Amino acid sequence: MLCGENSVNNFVDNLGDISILFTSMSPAIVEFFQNGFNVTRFTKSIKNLDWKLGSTLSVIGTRTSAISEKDANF
Amino acid sequence: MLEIDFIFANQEGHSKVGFRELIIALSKAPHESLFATELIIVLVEHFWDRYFKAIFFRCFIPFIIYFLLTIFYMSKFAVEGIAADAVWDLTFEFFARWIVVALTCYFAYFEVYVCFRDGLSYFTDIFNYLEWSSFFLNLYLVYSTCSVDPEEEGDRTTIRGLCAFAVVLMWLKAFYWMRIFTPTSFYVRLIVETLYDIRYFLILFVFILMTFANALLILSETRDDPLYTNYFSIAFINAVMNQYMLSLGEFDTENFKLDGADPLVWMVFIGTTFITQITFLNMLIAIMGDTFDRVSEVKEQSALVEKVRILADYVVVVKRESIERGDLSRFIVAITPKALGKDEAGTWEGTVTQLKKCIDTSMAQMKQQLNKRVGSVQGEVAAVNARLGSLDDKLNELHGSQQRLPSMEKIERSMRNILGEALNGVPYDGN
Repeated sequence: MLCGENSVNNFVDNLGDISILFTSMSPAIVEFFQNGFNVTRFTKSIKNLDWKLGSTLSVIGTRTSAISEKDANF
Repeated sequence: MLEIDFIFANQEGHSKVGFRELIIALSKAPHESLFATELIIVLVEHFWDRYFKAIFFRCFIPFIIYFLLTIFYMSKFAVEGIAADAVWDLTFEFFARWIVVALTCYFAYFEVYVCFRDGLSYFTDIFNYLEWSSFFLNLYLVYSTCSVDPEEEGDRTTIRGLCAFAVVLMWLKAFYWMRIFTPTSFYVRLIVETLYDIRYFLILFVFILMTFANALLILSETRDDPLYTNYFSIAFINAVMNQYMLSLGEFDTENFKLDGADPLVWMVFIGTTFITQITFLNMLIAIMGDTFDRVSEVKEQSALVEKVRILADYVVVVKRESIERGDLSRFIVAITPKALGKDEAGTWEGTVTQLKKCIDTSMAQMKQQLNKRVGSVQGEVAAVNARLGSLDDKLNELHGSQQRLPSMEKIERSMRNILGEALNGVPYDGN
């Protein structure tokens, strides 16, 4: 169902929808949440980033950026 | 990258929706495997800092003050009481009294909020009853400190008992607050899970204590000195208590030798030590070890569940996201390294999930290789088929050519005719 071109928000309209998924968990839903992000050419272009050793995930906060605007618009 | 507009979208007619509602929905999620998924981890990471800071300063710090002041008030003023003419004096007790009352009401407000929010499900959680017991007990003890005469010994004994209970409840709440910090939330979780997992075993444990206690009670009947110590003035409970102490290794066998040293008493003693002390307590440790393994397996996940649940209780103190403050974001970008080093392996999913992933990856690789091999074999089979087809055509062609040739008999006859004519001038007649 999910591919690199779409994400969770293509299937979920509001918190009510996602709450239904929370309460009716299944392997398919776990898979859905596991691959819920959209992968674009911009996200793929991230090559280097300040990284904490041992960290497996980093969330880029509001109004911050991981790549320069120039790179993003390229 | 994920667009998170759906978190702020209208829901069932409510326009004010945001991470607050998401936290509440997550806290009610029945399956904890949800907290190991990438989406939920990222969403929690996204709102955690803001919510943690708000709850830390608006709830945790007030709780520390409430906790310390209540413990001190119960231990010092409530136990001893204060004279009726000193109730309105501006002493430390006066200020402590009103701060305890104010903070009790402050924390009771959160419980009322959660009660209205959760409805009937609020009453299914035993910890909520403990919360309310603590609030009412604190208020009652503050009231009784001022109203009960310090010289009234009977009332003071009851108040002392209630103070001890109130203090235990306050310490239990301190345990509850330890869930908000990652290093301690795992242990709180472990304690709760362990107590939950041994619940059925405890029934059997009480049964085995009562089994030998009953035997001990009967064997004690004819003795001047009973075989157990008098703790509670009730023979059966004393016997059970004796068995409990024995299971912990507290032997009191002095009385066994008195009144004729009954061998049955020693048999009961041996039975108790072997079954209760050795077998049952080791089983208990084994169950606890099993729980530890299970909870450790998903350590990060359990810690996240605990943190989200405590956030959900006090989420009302956090301001909603707004564009003006700049905390209403539309997109989240989460980044993970392409390949992890051995020392950077993720701990979110636990060993079993990692094994599952490893097996899945190996299976996928094997499948890919198998597909490649099958593809090449299919190609070769197709080439062989094509060659066979051309050979078949050639054979058919040859077969057709053979049919067009005269038969060997005719050729032989023609040859003999030619030879006959050449040699004798007479055509060959076949003989």
